[in-house]
Amino acid sequence: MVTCRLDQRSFDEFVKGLQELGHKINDPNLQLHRAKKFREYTIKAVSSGEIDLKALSGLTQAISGGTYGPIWKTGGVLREMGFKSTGKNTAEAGYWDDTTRMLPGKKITYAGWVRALHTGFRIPLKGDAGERVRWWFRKYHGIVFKESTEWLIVPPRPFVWKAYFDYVRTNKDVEAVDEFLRGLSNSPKTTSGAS
Amino acid sequence: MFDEFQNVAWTPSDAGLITIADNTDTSVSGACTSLVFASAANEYVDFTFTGVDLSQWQEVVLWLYMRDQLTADNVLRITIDGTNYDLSRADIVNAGKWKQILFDCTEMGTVYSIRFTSLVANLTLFVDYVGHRKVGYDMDVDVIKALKAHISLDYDVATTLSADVSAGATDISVDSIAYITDKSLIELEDASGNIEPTQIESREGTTLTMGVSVTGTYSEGDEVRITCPVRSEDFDELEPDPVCGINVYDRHADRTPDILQTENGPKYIEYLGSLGIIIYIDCSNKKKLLQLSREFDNKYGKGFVFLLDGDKVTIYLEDSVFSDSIIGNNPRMAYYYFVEPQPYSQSVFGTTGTLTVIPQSLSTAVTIES
Repeated sequence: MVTCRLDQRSFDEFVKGLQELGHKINDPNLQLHRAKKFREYTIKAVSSGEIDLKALSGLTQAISGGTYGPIWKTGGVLREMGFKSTGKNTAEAGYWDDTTRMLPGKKITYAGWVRALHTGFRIPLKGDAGERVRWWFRKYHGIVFKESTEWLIVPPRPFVWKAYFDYVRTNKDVEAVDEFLRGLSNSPKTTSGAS
Repeated sequence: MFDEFQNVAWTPSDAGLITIADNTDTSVSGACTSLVFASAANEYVDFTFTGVDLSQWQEVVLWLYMRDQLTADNVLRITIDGTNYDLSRADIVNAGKWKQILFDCTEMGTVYSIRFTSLVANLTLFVDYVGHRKVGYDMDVDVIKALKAHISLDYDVATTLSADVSAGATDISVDSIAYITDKSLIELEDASGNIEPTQIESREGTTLTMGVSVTGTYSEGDEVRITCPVRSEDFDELEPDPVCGINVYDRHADRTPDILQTENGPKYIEYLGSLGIIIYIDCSNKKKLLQLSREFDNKYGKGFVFLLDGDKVTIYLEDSVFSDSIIGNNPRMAYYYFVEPQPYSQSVFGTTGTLTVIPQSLSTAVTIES
C-alpha cells in the first residue's frame, strides 16, 4: 500500500498555473505577438542580407543611381508589411493589405510589387511593347540595350517565404510563444482590443 | 545521376515457355516489360544492353511487380556480374505496388546483361526502369533535370502553313496568328509526321520569321503547333513566350543520416538538405496563361510524384502566387515547392563473407555464412 498525501497549497498553485496558462494560450494577443515577431524578423533578415537573396543586377542599381539593399533602397516595401489579428485565435503577418497604396512615384501598388518580386518577371524588349520599354530606358536613364537582347529578366526573390521558413526552422516562433507565455512581452494581457 | 541501360533486348531461354511483352497497364516510367514463365522453373530471360563499367556507378536500380502467389520459397533469381541474388515472394510483393530493388555495384566490372531466372514453375513478372545511378555533388542539378523531364503543358494552339516552305527558308506564312506571340517556340510537322522545333524571331502580319533556317521541306496545309516548353535556370538560353520555368530560390543545409538497403549490403547515406524551387508559367497572353496554369493545377498542383535518380519522389506545394502585368512584364503564375535531392553515399558497409563465432561457454565453433 502506498499512501499519497496532497499538499493542498501546492496543488492550488498548480491548478492556478494551469488556468493562467490556458488563459494565455487563448489570448488573441499571443497570435498578434507571434505575427509581430515574424514581421520584425523578416525586416531584419532581409535588410541584413541574412536570407541570401539574389543580388540586384547592375541595371537595377543604375536605374536607382546607387547601391542599396536587396529589396528596396528605402526599405519602404518592408515597412509597409502588415500584421493584424484576424480572429479570436488567429493573426496574420507578411501581407500588404492596402492594395490601392502605391509605391512613391510609381504606378504600382505595394502588393503588386511584392507579388512581382516573389514570382520574378520578365519584360519583353522585342516587338511593339519592347520598343516602348527600350524608349523608356533610353529617355529616362540613358540606357540602350543591344538589339539582340530579348528580355529584361528579374529573377524571383521570394523574401517573405524565405524569411518565414528560416523563422520557423530556427525556432524563432517557438521563442516568441515562450516569451509571451513567460510574460516577458509587452503585449497587453486582456483578450480584447487587439490592433 | 541516373541512366537507363541503352540498346536493351530481352531474350528468353525457351520462347515456348516464356512470353515477353511490352506493357503499359502498370508501370513506373510509363511503360514496362512483362515476363510470363509458364511451367518454366529454372528457365530464364537475359536482359542485354550496351556494356557499362558499373564500378564507375553506385547502384543498379530496377523495379519489379509480381503477380502474387502462395509460396514461402524463393521465386526469382537475378544474376548480375556472375553473382546470384535470390528473391522470395516477400522480397518482391509490395502490397499491390511496385518494389524497387537495389544492388551496390561499386565492386562490379563491365556488365552487358542481367539474367532473370524463375525459381518456380509459373511466374508473372513486370520489370521497369532498369538502370544505374550515382549521386554526387550535382544532386541539385539532377532535381532540376528530373522536373524538367516530368512537366509538360499543352498551349493548345495550332494553325497551318498558307504556302509551301523550302529547306533553308527563314520566313513562313501561316493561316492564323491567333495566340502566336513574338517569341513563340513552334513545331512544324510535315505529311510524314516529321517534327521540327524552331523559334520565332519576329512576325509581320501572318508571316513569321524564324531565328534559324528551317531544315525540312513543308507544304501548304502542314500543321504548325505552338508549344509551351519547360526551361530551367542556368541550363537553357532560349527564352520563348510562353514558357514554363524552373528556378531555385532557396537551399537548406542539413545532414540527415539514413541507411540504404541494397540486395548485397547496406550503405550509410546522408540527405544534405532541401531545395526551394519555383515552377512558373510566364505568358504574354493572360487568357492562355490562365489555361496553362489550370492545366498545371490539375496535373501537378498540390503535389506530384516524379522520377529522380531511379526513385519515385513526391513533392508538395508550399504556396502559389499570381503576378499580373504591372510594368510591362508578362503575367506569371508561380508555384513554390520544397524538394529533397537524393542522399549522398558516405560509405558502403558491404557484405559479410564468413564470420566465425566462438561462444565463451562452449568449445565448439559456430560458422555463419551469409
